[in-house]
Amino acid sequence: MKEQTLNRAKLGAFVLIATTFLIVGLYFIGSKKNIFHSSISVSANFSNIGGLIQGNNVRFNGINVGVVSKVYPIADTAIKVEFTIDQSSTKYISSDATVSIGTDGLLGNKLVNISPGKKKSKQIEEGNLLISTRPIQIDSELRTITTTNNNLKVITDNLKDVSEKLNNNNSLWQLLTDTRVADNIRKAIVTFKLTGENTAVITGNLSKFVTDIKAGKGTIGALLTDTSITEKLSQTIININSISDTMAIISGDFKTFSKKLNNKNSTLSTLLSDTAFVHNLNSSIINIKDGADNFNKNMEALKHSWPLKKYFKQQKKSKQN
Amino acid sequence: MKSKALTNLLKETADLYLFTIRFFKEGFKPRFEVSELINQCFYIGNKTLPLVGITGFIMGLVITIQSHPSMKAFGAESWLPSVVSVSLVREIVPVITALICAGKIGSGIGAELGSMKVTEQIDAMEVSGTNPFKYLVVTRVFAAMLMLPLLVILSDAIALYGAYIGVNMKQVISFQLYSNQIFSKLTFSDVLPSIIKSFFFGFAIGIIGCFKGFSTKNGTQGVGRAANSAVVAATFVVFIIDLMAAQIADIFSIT
Repeated sequence: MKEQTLNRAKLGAFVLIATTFLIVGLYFIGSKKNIFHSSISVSANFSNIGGLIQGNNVRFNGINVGVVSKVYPIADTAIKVEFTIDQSSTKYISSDATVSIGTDGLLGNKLVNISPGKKKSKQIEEGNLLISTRPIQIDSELRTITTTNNNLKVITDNLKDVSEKLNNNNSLWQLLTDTRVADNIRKAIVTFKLTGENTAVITGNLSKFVTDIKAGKGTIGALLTDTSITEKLSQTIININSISDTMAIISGDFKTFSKKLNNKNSTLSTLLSDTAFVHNLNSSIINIKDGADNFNKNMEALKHSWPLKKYFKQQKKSKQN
Repeated sequence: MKSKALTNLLKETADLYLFTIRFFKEGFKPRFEVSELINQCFYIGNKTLPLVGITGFIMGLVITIQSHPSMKAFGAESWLPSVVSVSLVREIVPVITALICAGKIGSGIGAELGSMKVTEQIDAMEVSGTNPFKYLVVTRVFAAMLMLPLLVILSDAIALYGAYIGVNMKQVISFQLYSNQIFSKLTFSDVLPSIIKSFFFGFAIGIIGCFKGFSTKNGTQGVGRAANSAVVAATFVVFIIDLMAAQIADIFSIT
């Protein structure tokens, strides 16, 4: 009887341990599939899901946050993917997060990747429809890589041509290998250096010159620094001053004179303003003019007169010669 | 001669079918031989555990060591735990455990009941007012049905530990990472079908062992034959059930 009890106890332990293993194992499997976490269900529409199936993982920034719960077509070019997201992760995912379909490794299972949206957007909620982006199709990527490879081939061919030409073309190569060019450049640099040094010497001289001028050495220095000249100059200015004073006196006299001229009672004014006098003067001038005309005529007549005629002819002749 | 063998086979099949029906008739009718059931559970469960445990451990270790070179050739060494765990849990551990049990339990039941039969103990039991079918058959079959899944679960655990050691022989991997990898790869549809399957394995082993024992003839010579044919038939039926389980799982897309 005692042995039977012991056996029963052993059997109980056996059953208990085995059941515990089963429950723990199932719990771990379930927890990996997010079965025992409270979760929300959201969805996204894709044009091509590339083999995604129910149970595939959903990742947010690389962390597993849920599983795909349902995949079904809703139109001829649209597949609806419903998936769960662990409740504890929802506070980090905004409702404008984008969803794409990726692969775990190069050949691994398909999975849904959630990329975060803007921080200020609303938190994700049950039933949200997320924005989807086109999944990366390995075959189309390979096509792009093929094009890139072809381009690379052309580019390397061209590079090969260029380097061959560089090797074969003597003039270019000579230019690169010619030591004279380098020598010339070196000489030019030396000359340039000399020029610089000379410039420095000139600058030094110039500064000395300026210093000398300041110190009153040389003609310009003397000119600029001689105090006697300054005195002479001030004397001259004084003279100019006295001249202008004299001029002022003269102009004052001239003023008095013009005043007298303006005075109608003065002799000069009378003379200038008397119209009869002016008339007489005019007729006198006319008379003088007439007299001069007559005189001209007399003189012309005199030219043609016999005793003087020969003299004018000779004069004309000598002018022509 | 051939027709006699065929007739014998068909007759035996019919007998087994009737025996099974009788089991279901008797099995769910009171009174239940609980004490004997627990005894049988102890003998089938506890006494088989060391054998099953060691076998499971070795299988886990060996499968890992054998898979390592081919996984390495694909550059998928890191997938070794997941691959090995799936193959162990889904197929290898349930079938190996069932075969071990077919050998140990099937032969044991066959020999025990056979010797009881030939020494007319069963008839004596009937005379004394105890239902021998209930006391001997129903308890053993139920015990096998209940213990086989538990043995498979424990064997799974031990085999996965063996696989952990196997993985660590070639590379260094923490137990935490190992368990993470296997539990993220395993699904309910890997574990539950294998456990449901092992109920049927247990039933088949128990019922065939009992049938062979109950139908023993020709004295002590027949006892040995009964034990032997119980193991052979049970092993064969285990594979048939495994095939059917795989087919059914495939039909219901539990893959």
